[in-house]
Amino acid sequence: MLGLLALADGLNSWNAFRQHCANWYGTGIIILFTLTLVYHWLNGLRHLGWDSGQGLDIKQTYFTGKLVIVLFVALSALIIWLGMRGAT
Amino acid sequence: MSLRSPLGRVRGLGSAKEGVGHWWAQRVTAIALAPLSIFFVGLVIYLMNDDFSTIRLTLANPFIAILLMSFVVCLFYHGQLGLQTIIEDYVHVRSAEVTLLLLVKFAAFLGALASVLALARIALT
Repeated sequence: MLGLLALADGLNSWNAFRQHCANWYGTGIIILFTLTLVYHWLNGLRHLGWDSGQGLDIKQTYFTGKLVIVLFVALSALIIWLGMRGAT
Repeated sequence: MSLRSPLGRVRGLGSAKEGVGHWWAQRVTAIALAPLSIFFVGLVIYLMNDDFSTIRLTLANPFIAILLMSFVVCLFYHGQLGLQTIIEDYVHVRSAEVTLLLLVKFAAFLGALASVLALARIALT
């Protein structure tokens, strides 16, 4: 939302926003947001599965739980790697 | 002893039939957000190293603008619903609960409006 406002406001605001993103705290916030988004996204899909009555027995629940952790690490690493590429 | 009939009591105290509204809204926004967040992350990575005018031109594309608007509106709505659940479940002081619920609703509403206004300005100028 801040990025959109900065982009709408003009070049100066946008450059300031990019500066903040490039700083250690900005990058930290982006990475933390990425991690929480991926984790929430995966568990959200898992929860939607439960809502539709799938994967409710103990065995499947443990399996999807582990699957979420594995995919969380893999997807987060992929997104952060893509995000770091070419960034200085 | 109450003189009200069992039927009257049920009519007065029973479910308003709106109990699942919140639950459903949470699922609907979740289902919408699942693909929209892939789109958003992909867009950010795609535009990451582009300059100001390229990014503005891209976001001015009506398809991208509409998808982004859908994303931010669903995001703030979904976030508000989720925080509401947490506050209702874990804040046990009624006055604090209501205050927090109001603040979260106002903040989500303002956030969604500001984002849509920014996107509209990008798309229309």
